[in-house]
Amino acid sequence: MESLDYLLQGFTVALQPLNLFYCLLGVTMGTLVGVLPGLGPSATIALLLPTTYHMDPVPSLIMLAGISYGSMYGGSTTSILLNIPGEPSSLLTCLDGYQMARQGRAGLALGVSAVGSFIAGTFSVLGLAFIAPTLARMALGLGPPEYFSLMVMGLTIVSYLARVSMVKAWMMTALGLIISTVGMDPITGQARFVFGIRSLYDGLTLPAIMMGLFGVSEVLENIGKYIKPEIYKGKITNFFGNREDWRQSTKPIARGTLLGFFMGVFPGIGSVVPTLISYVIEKRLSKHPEKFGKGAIEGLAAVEACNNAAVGGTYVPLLSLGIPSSGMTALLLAALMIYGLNPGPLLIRESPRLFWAVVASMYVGNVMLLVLNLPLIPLWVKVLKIPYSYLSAMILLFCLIGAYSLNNNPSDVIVMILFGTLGYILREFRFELPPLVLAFVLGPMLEPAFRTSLIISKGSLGIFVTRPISALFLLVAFIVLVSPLATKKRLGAGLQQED
Amino acid sequence: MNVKTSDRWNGVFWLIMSIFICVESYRLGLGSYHSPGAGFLPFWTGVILATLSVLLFILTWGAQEQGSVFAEKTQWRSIVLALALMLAYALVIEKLGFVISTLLFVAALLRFVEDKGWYAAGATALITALATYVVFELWLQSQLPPGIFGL
Repeated sequence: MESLDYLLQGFTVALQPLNLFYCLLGVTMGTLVGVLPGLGPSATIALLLPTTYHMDPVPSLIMLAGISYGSMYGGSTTSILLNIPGEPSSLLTCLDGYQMARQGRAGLALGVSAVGSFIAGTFSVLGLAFIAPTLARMALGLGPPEYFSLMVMGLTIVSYLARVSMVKAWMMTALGLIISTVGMDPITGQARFVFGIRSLYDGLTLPAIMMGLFGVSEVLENIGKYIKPEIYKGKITNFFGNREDWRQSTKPIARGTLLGFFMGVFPGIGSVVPTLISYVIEKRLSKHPEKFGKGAIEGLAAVEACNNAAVGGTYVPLLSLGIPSSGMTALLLAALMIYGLNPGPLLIRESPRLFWAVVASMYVGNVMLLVLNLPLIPLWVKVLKIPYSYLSAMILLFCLIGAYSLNNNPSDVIVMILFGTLGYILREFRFELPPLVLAFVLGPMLEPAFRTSLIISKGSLGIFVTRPISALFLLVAFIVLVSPLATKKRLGAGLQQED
Repeated sequence: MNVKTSDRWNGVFWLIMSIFICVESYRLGLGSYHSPGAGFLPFWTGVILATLSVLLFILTWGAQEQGSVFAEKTQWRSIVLALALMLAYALVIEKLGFVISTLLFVAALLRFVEDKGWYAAGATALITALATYVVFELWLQSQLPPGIFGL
């Protein structure tokens, strides 16, 4: 029950006026970028990172975290009203949410997704409060071999979950690892892949890469071919439906929440895939599977709960092990390091005030989103009427300013432009970016872990399989790796072709 | 170009890239198992990338058609122009200063990439430049570069 005491203390910090303000700012911005196409939460966190340099870490992290879960609420609004997923984990919200809106049940769809998201958010805050400290204590016994194997497992999972082609996802993982070695080698001090360019010696900056891959490249993709969305014109009323609607939604919300949170905890899974699985589960369990995709409230409720819970889940490895499970949490990790904190198993012990304040603020933020989201929907609909041509100019400008302010150096801007171009081309060639980002992020931790492991073991690779926890992680990775052979899933294929 | 053909070209391209990566890594020194060198990880990752590239190339035979890459209506002119303007912004921001660079960037982007009229582009650019200056410089203290007029 010690966690509960700490959590209450966290609330006293999170409820201070300044922190409340930054929480509100975070969730509002999160909702806004969730609504807007072309600027996702990752790019937003990346471009706001420099503005928090001179701030206290507590309000900064409260705000940045607010963006991450606030965007999930915003994404559902546009999915339901316009059939546009503001961000990828809302893809499945479109399926039934938009159909419900077309049947005149837009209000109920928005209501169910807000309440489902809130329940999931609440659960994941509690899960985070109880699991993260325990996991951190256990993690103190982990050495470099375990960390290495855990990261290998994460990379295996993210590649396995590729939607188009596993081979191509593995290629992106390899590329990400190679890109992560650009700059000074942390052990020998040799310069790698710098080709005499001075500004490459410090390596490539993650926020610049994220803004390029997830901000610039999306704008490039849409330049000149963006079609104006059909804006929902019907009246949005009756958010809370009737008892039957809620009876149908309760169990899907519960299942979606549990699935999302516990899958989100695993590095590499992220929030898109759990929603996919939870949708399939609901469809299988339903007595009327034919209604799915035609406005089934169960499908919508499960998916919405699931994507919010998954975001909470991704905070567990971040705050207890210092291991990011996605590009978004990697940025938060970068933020922790910039504030001079020490992410890893000791974070919760060394900075309890920060950890518990952030956890409590996530609950506060979810309450804010529940209260504010529904009344603000007319405003979000208005925001969507801004012509995309102006919006894309603003997105590019914000990315430019954000990249420049990282180090007040134009070279970060050039890195961002290059990665924007690379991201655009790779995406057109049907390569997926999440494995590349995760590998880039884990690379700087994976390589030293591997090399120090070998130094400890005096050159024997056996160290990774003789230590039980490390062996377990590698076993999971191995099973994930060979499972396509057993299930005859084609190597060239991905999840999209299944089901 | 369809996805199948592009996958073949990608296989070839990344194979060449990975050979290059392996050669560079080899020069950095692979070290030994007792103490792996700076080139160890990139070298073996390069080998994996090379294997995967070959696999991608081979798997295109017998693969189903998955549509095409680069939509026909891709606006190459707009994309190249937008990138060029961004690059120009990066190069001039420290010389011209934040406000002027932003003004020129937004105006040019709206006028030439998005085909807005001069009036709309200019007015939007002016408002944007001043508003972002207030937000980023005065409020958030981002220390954007001052230009010839101290703005």
